[in-house]
Amino acid sequence: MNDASQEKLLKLLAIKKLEQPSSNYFQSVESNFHRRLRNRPEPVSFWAGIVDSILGRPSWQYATSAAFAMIALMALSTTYLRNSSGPELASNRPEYLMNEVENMTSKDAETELKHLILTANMPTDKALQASYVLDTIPSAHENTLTF
Amino acid sequence: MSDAPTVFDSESPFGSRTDAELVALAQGGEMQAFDELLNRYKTKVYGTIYHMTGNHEDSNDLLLEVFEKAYFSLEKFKGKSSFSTWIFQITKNHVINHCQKNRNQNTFSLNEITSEDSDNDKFREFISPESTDRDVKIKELQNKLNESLMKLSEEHRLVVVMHDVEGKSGVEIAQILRCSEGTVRSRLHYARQQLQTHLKDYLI
Repeated sequence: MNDASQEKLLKLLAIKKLEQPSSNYFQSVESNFHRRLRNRPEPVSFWAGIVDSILGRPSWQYATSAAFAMIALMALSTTYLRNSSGPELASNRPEYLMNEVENMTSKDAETELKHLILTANMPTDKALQASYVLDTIPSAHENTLTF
Repeated sequence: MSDAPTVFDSESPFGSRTDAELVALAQGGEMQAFDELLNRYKTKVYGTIYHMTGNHEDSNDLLLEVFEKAYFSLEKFKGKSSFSTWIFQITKNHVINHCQKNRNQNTFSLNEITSEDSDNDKFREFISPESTDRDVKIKELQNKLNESLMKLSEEHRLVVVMHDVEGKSGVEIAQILRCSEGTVRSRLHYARQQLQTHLKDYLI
């Protein structure tokens, strides 16, 4: 490239100086700067920053949610299993039941024992009055359609 | 290198102070002193950022970020270099980081060249004054020039912008870039060669 070409290039580059923002732009820079300082978020501590950077990632957010869901599910399952009737230790059975079994000498002891087991978890007043007949007709069975 | 402010604002209570005095006052918590520094350098810093990015919106954000960074780093400024060199070092680091992150997003939102400027003699060599679509030609020239600048690496572009557009000396640029004057001259020579190749249609 020759000198004339370089001289022309320098003149062309000097034209770039003429590119200016709107006349009032620079007047607002100071106020914009002050607004920016006022709206600046408070600096966070080192450890808070680390925790934020880890938990702030979407993948970690999903993982944390999934972990909490799993823990909740496990806690619910454990509670349910603990409350449900499973194999019961003899020492945990109601005292009245143990007395009945000890006093049982008749030959229909097997039938009696089944009945006692079935009714063991029922309230005592209802256990001896087991009834399988509905006293009233459920509302769902009532014929409401009239023609 | 000149450290004197280019514009003295007679209305400002700090208008007659030197940069070094203003820095000392700002380090002591005097906000108005920093405002004076901001007002002295905003046009020049904006110019460097704008010619590096070719985008007004980005330049506006980066300008505020540069002064914010300077404000919070001011206590670390020991005065080994002038405030001018220091603020342009921050500008250089900030704008190069921005350009590297957005290398594939060269969207220009160029500032207008005003009509009085477009009648200037400077355009005569490139666009005929009799041309009917003169404004279109100026816009085209402006775009072509910016495209050519964007094809340069950030380091080469910065040297061209500081030397050929803003008129900084080789010594000043070397201090800002923390390199030797020889490196500045070498980068300038290479960058001009590249630009001449890209803009050969306009340089005949």
